[in-house]
Amino acid sequence: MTTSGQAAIRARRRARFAEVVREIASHPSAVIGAALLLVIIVLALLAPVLMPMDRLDVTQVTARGNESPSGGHWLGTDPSGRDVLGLLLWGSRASLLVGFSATAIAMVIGTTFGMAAGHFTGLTRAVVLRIIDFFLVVPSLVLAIVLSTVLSRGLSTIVIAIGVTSWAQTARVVRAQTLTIETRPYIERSRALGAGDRHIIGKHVLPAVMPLVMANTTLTVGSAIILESTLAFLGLGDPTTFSWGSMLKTALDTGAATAGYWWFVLAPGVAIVIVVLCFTLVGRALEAVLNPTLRAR
Amino acid sequence: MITTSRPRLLRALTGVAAAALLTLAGLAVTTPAHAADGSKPIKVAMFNDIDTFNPFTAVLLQSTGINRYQYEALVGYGRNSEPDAGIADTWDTSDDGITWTFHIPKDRKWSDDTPITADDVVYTYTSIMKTSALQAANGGLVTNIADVKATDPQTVVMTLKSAQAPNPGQEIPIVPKHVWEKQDPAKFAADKDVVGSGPFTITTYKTGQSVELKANPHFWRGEPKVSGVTYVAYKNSDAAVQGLKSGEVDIADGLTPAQYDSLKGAKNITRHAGIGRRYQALAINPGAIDIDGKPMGDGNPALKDPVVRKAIFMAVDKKTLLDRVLQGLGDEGQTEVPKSYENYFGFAEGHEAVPFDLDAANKLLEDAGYKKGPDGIRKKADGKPLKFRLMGRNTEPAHAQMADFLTSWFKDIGIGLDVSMVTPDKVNEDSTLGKYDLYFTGWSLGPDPDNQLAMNTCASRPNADGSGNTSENNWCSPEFDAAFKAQHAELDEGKRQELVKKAFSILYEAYVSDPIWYIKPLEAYRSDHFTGFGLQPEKGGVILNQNGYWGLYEAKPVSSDSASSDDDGGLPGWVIPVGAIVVLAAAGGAIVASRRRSTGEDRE
Repeated sequence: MTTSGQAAIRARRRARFAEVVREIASHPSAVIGAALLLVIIVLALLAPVLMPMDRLDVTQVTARGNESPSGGHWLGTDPSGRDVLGLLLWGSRASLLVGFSATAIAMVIGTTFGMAAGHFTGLTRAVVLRIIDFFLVVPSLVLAIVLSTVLSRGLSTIVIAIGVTSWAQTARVVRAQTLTIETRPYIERSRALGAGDRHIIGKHVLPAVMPLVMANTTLTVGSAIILESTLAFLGLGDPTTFSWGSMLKTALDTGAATAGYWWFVLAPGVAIVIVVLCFTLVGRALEAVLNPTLRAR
Repeated sequence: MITTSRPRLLRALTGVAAAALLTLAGLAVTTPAHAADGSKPIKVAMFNDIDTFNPFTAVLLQSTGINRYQYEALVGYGRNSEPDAGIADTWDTSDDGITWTFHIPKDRKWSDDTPITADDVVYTYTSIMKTSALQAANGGLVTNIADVKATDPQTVVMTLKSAQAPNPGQEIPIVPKHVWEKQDPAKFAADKDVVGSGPFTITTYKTGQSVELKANPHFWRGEPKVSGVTYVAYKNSDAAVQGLKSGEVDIADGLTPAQYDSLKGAKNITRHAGIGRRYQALAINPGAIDIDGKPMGDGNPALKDPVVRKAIFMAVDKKTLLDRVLQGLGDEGQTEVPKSYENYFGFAEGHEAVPFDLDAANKLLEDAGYKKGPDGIRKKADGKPLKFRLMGRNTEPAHAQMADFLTSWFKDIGIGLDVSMVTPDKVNEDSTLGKYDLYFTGWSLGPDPDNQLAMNTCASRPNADGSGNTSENNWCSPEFDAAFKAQHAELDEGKRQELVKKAFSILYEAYVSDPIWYIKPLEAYRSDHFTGFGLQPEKGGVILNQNGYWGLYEAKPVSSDSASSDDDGGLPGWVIPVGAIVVLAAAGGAIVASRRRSTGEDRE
């Protein structure tokens, strides 16, 4: 391949990227979702500045427990007198961190297995497919609960538990895409020129499935955040880090809902809904633009 | 590809339908409940675990509490926890305090109408004395008993090894010999059609769901005025409070302060905060040892040093915990004796509580050679860092809240904490086997402190596999054993009170168990369903979780005409906004999905 050929490819990809961005921008819901997400991510990164950790130290706080929202505490206080808004900010770090890292794990596993299942034939394909099938049918929440119980406690455990339980769907999608890609003439030509498995998968299949993986990633982050909150809500999270799920658990345990302390129940709940909704809006738009089978040609 | 979007739409619509159904279900459970009539049992909310109903092996509060309704002891507890008639109506002590004679009247009957005789008593006591497998619950109570025999069917004579203050006829539930001798008493579940002597007996037990008891028509004080008691399992107290509001249950205890506040002024619901008999403590693993003196478990060896344990005591601010976690609904802890037993409450002369003082704790550790490392955690040059595991129950919100405070205080004195909240079963299992560094524990005390003290003697340590006796901290000290014996043998009540305080003070100063508070049990009941609950103590006492059966035994249904049937029991205010958000989110999903479907179709 010549240098000019590569340059041409690069130019083509740039143009395609600009096109994708334009198409996404034509989905107003995606723009709103992306903007909100950006704000949330910036707030999460700024949490140590906006709400230093020692202001959430139970032995330092001066507010009473379960105070209703006021000028000093915009979202009231939790049963230990900590600022709910502060907990929400710090909780967003855990939720986003777990969401992104778990999804990264899931995407790597899912893409690898998906391409392997699509590319190889015979025994390899059969084995890989059965593995995917296994993870498809095992209820991921149950598997995640088992994993987070068996492994030592901590955020990394939750990341692993979610990561290894939510890749099967991606693997299926990637496999389907791999199958269609591999019937294309340029793959056949490549094969005729003597390309091996590694070359075909790395140079041709992977770039072709990447857009799909991207769209899938955005959607998976949302469900990973929900799964994280669920695990924390069930008391399987790391009790030393704040997360939206553990806030909900505390709210339930201390009877905040029954007592009508709505600020402590609704705040983390609404936060989860908003973040997941944002990821879904962006993900759906990405999928509509990037998935070749859904795209107008 | 059109086909792939159809299930998505379906899924979204299903979501909307499910959300709507959930909302409706929420409304459904709040339909007005009918006022109780005489044929309905009292429904009690429970959310603690049940180990077994076998009175020989049951140690958990929920099970032993239910067993108090089923089995009388030789001597029971009156309305003020004073010794009162049980299976025996009178008892005598010889002058030297060695021989106790109990008289069983002829009218005592088991719930299957067979007479209760001295044989049943002898069978129960000798079973515990002879078989170590039957000592888990009450083994400590029989160590001083040399012999129990029936001189005639109505008379039991007990010979003790040495004089003892507590009545040996108290606290041990007597089981019917004609039922139990046909079973392996160590394995008999005794959870179905139970034959008992108390006011209520179990008819059915569904694990994790319910325990049903019916009134015992042969109960010697007279048949209860209610037809039975049904314990309904709830996952948490929040659900129990909702159940109470909607009339699904008639009485609930173990409420959190927030829930208690929320029931203020609720229609047809009466709140009740009585004097507690339970202490909440932070237990420290001093290097657990089994009955043979062999180490057990995996406690951090640094905790074998009393200096470290004392520093931990100094870093717990009980007053703040009481104020902030319990909203002041309790009393600050001293020794393991709750404030409700005034005679034995407090430290003996010359002993006092370790004050909360982080600077002093720091100095104590510094002087003992524990230097702070770069991570702020102290360690001895040759030892492991002072990083401890802290275990609590995930069913008790106070444990998680207290852990937040402890983590912060302990950090200040260079001790790291690794907090985990696990199921009560796991806490019991791990604490019995010494597999912990620190954990939150608590016991309910009977009116006589002897049992609580006995549990801390060397003889009460468990076998290596956790079977046999129950020890509080698998800890053992000759000094404490001597103090235990001294109070145990003291027949003069005034002198004994001081000796009991002395024994508990020694236990405190071993720094293995730091009593944080004595909680006031927060209870609430449907005043439109039942009334007349018998409190214990009679003034300011509790309804459930007593030393006796008075609470539910004395209860009577509210006559249907006086009870109002219009039940508010509406949805709590927050449900509507939450429901609305769920529905809106699901509907939003449906719209997005359907839009996606249409574009997909158009473009294909």
